[in-house]
Amino acid sequence: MNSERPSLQCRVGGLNLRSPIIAASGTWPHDPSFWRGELTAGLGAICTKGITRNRREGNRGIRLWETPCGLLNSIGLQNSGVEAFISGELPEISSRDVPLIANVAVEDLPSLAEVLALLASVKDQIDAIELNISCPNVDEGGIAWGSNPESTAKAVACARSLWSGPLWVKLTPHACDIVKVATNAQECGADALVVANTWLGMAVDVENEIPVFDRVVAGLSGPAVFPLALRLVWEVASCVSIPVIGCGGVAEARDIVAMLFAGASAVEMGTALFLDLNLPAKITLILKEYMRRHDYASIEEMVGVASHTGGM
Amino acid sequence: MQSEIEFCDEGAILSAKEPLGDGLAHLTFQAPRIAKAARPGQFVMFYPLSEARSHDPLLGRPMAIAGASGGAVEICLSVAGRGTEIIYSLPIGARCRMRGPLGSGFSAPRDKIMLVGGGIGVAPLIFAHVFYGASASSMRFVMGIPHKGWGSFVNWVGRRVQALHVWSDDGSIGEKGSAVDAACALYSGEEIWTCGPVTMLRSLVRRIPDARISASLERRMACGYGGCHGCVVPTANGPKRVCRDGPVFNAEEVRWDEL
Ligand SMILES: Cc1cc2nc3c(=O)[nH]c(=O)nc-3n(C[C@H](O)[C@H](O)[C@H](O)COP(=O)(O)OP(=O)(O)OC[C@H]3O[C@@H](n4cnc5c(N)ncnc54)[C@H](O)[C@@H]3O)c2cc1C
Ligand SMILES: Cc1cc2nc3c(=O)[nH]c(=O)nc-3n(C[C@H](O)[C@H](O)[C@H](O)COP(=O)(O)O)c2cc1C
Ligand code: FES
Repeated sequence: MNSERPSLQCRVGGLNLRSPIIAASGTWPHDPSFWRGELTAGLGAICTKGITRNRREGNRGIRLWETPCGLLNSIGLQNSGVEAFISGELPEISSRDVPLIANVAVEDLPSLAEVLALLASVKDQIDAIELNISCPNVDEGGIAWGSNPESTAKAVACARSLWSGPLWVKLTPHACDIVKVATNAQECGADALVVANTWLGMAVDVENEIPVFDRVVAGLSGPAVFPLALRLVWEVASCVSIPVIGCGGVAEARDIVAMLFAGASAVEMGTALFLDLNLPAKITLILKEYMRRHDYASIEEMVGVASHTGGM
Repeated sequence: MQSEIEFCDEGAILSAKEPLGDGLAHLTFQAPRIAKAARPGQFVMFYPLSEARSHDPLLGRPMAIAGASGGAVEICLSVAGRGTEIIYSLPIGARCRMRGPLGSGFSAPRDKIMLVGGGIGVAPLIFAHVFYGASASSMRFVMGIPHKGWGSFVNWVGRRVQALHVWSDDGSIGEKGSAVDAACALYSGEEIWTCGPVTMLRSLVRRIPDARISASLERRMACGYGGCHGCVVPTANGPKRVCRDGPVFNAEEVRWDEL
């Protein structure tokens, strides 16, 4: 164990992390140079872009739109498909300086089974699977899987039967009953829950009098959604026994502290990386300073503190 | 290739600012690491604050590198909205940040080159012209502008670029016509490096179909480093990221009809 106090090391959903900050899916390139050295400082793990059975070109038209303190995206799961990922990308990015979490986007159960069987064959190169039942930017599957408790159970059970390593499930804020979705995921074998993916939003091009995005709707992320994500973490963490990973708008050390206090065991950070790639390294220093000042020796001690102090 | 990270996030101090009329300005920032590594055609993501404290506007603004020497990075700015307005009003000494140098840039010239810039699109071409100074005498520089409000900017470019051909949409400066009209009139078989609005680039590619053209493209960007897949353009080899696979593309590769 690292004797340095306070320690940022934590064990979450079957993984040992040197820091509670994880790069969120869809924000870190698969280009190999990003998976070692300087840039990974401060990160506990990195999630890959969503992986699907077949190659996807992603959505047409405008894919990004800035909003006050937020970002709407409509990428549409552009990726090279699981086989090209395994042969062309994975060997270059796995076993670098940081654990790799493969984000698997659920389209339909037969494709999911194929993707997981293929990933299981290179299990030693993947530290965990993050099951994405929450992508808002595709027509088939995606968010629909995580929207209701029954389909969540089916997807998680399917994944669990094919993947024996750490299995994280990434929920959508648009679940009709997120507590039931969360407990179903837990019962079907999830090792941790990521709360949450982006919020459905929309933008209109008022000059041209049309929706900005070809698919009309898009996913909202960034500091604008932080209080919404925090509330979901609070709600979910209080009703499951597996770890919750807070995701949505985290951009500062105090956001991480708030997520931990609300019941998260670690956080994912996406959009904030676009603003400053050195942010994880900078934040870990501030986080340690906070822990020293408030007499916390470990991340674990901070998890759920707000729930023991009543009021909340 | 691309085995090591070839860019960084670096603090940048605004050291000189020259307003050039009509919402245009030339800005110089002290950013030694980026300046040292910069090559023509590359760009920076520009953040007007030294720390990401305020989150509105949230994202960096992509800006072509118009010059890089002696630890300084230069940009040419055209105010287009809120973000560029904030950059325009920065005081001398302002502490900002840049991510860069980003993207692939133009590959070194092998032959005669004609540089064709539409409006603020001349920015990366100025750097190319200055950087490849030795061969610059064989680089003709064609610049298209809207009207005479761009006069100070034209003079500023003229101080750095010999053999400058200026055309304006209303004929108030130089000959009347667009950058594409100018390029067609002057073209004599050389390779073309170009930057400007997509409509201009598309029309250039169509009107001089046999030319070898390297075109620098613009897309909305969030990260600038290839992570978000927000800036892709359709190409013969599938969607490619402007920020990392470009911004300079071989025009033959780009699917101009779908752009
Ligand atoms: C590779 C590249 C190089 C560029 N070089 C220069 C340059 O040298 N000088 C210069 O003045 N401008 C340049 N631009 C364009 C410049 O980035 C946009 O004008 C600027 O981002 C607009 O921001 P805004 O807040 O003023 O406008 P707003 O319209 O308020 O912007 C809102 C959002 O749209 C995005 N956006 C709007 N227009 C564009 C555009 N044309 N390209 C990319 N994103 C856009 C913004 O980044 C922002 O996220 C370049 C763009 C790219 C992609
Ligand atoms: C450009 C972009 C692409 C994304 N792609 C994916 C993806 O492929 N799979 C996924 O599970 N989440 C994806 N997300 C969601 C993020 O991983 C994250 O859940 C969300 O952005 C909220 O966190 P943030 O506010 O820190 O960005 C994407 C987000 C953005 C902004
Ligand atoms: S701006 Fe993010 S991939 Fe190009």
